[in-house]
Amino acid sequence: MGGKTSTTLLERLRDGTDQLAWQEFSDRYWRLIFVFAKKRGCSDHTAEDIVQNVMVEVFRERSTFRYDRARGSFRNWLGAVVRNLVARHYRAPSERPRGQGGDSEGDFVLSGLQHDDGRPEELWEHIYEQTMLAALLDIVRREVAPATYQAFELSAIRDLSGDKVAGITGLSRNAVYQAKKHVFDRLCELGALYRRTGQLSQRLREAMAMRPNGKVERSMTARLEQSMRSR
Amino acid sequence: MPGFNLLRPIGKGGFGEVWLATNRTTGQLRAVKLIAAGRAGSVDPAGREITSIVRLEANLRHQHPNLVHIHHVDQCPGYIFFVMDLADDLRGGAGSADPDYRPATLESRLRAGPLEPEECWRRTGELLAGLAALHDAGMVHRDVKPSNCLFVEGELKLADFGLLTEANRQMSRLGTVNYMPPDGCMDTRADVYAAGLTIYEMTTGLPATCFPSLGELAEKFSDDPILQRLNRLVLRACHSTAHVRFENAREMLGELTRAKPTKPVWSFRHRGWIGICLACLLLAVVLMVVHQWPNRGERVRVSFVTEPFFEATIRLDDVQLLKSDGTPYTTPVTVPDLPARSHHVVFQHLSLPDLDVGWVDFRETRNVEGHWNSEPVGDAGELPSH
Repeated sequence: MGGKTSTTLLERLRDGTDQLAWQEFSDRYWRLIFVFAKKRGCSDHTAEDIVQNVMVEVFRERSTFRYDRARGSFRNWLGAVVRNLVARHYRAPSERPRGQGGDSEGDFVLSGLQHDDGRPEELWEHIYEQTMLAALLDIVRREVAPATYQAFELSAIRDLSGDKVAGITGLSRNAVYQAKKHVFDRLCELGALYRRTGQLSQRLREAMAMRPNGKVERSMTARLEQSMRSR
Repeated sequence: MPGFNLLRPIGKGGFGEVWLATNRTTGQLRAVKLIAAGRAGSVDPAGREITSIVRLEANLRHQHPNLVHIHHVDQCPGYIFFVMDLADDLRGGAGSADPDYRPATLESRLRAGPLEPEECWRRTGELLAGLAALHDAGMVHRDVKPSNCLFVEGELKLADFGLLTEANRQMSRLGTVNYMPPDGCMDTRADVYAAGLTIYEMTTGLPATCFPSLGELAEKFSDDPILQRLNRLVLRACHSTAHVRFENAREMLGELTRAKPTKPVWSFRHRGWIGICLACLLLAVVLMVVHQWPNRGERVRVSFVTEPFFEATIRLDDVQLLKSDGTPYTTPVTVPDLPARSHHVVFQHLSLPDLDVGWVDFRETRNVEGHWNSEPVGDAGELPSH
């Protein structure tokens, strides 16, 4: 699964007025940034702020960033921006816990890092992979009929029985299974891994579980639309 | 402003601001939408809005209870303005001059999560009734979405007629991107699509961009017949292929009202005669089956499914099931024309042990499922699985 940011998208982002390019960029990356910030110990509200700050930073740096294989991919650069912003946020006075006199700045940053599962770079890569898998699912979601995608999600990711899925979608039981197979086949064509060992379902469940909840989806969608209108 | 005192802004749309205002004569509270007149550029929002309101008044014979009522249209220096129903307070109750008043729109209510199923059903009916009134009058709204659905005196009303136009296929692609159908044709089916997404948001609390995912509410949908029926309505309304969708809101509303079960109004005497007739019919069918077709072997359709690996072949009574072209049937599949009696069923898959389901009577079971618990062994190349 590649998931490289296309050079074309980066070039389009340099045009600050290309709304569709910025929409595509924010659709592709905001959940990744949000989940990373949450894994680093941020609240929902703080993580949303960090998403917006990253978008502003990318917009500000859009003319200076040049895709350079020798230096690494765009996602590495973006990862560095996000990690710096999260660390900077923890150093801001408003994030320090009250009533804990004597904490040094360094101690507070360390306490934030205790939420990590490992090194920040590895965490970023792990979340990136999961987000890209979810992004593949989004591509297929837009390609197939809504009932087909829904039948797939309910049976393969939410583990509902064929009968229950048929009741929700109005499809026959057989059509539910056909839908499931069709979406899996398409995901594999797009490059989703873990096919041979039957782990794709599990990986998809993990990817979906990492996604922000409905309230955050709604809030971030509105915030990103608003910030794009204001540019 | 002639006749009204503007108190404070309470909302903002694409082309204007909405203010809380009082009628100087009666003291009645209203919402007043202000649009700048004569803006430079190719888009004249004031002109478009006036045209839309004129169309609305010309084509709708009566005010509809599920369309926001426009009481008055006028102008003041630099602006035109519309005086409308004031939305209820988001906290509950009627709109007021209270400094904490926030207008109750569907969008603002959905920030707290999805609506309860019974309320979803009711609001769906209200939304579709208002939209159907527009479609019946030969008009298309072009901007149906939660922020354009207001609650006034407890009832949902469709608002913002700035993009209203007569229904024809040459309409410009205007509106809100996330609620536009992929085919790009902005006719009554586009309104149906947008209404479907609005209903989706009501039932799931998720934004339209997440459609058709049900998120964490999947189990709730599986237990609730109202949510299931609304979901099926939405799946058809939001189909990516235009001709699959409802043609207009009236057809969609008809499907909604057909879906909710109602008790037939029959007298006891009628029910008695109908019962007797049905019993006679049933007896006749049974007699025909038992006595008139003794030598005809019954044939049935049976579905075969295997988990978690697909494309298993099927052996019935030690014989592989083949299609008419000689290739084997592979799961998931429905096989027609199988003898209605007991069969020994075995699923076979590349590099997996045979899955012996045992004896299955096709007179009683039409869905045969097999489940492998083991991992594949060896290198079998591409394994169609999940």
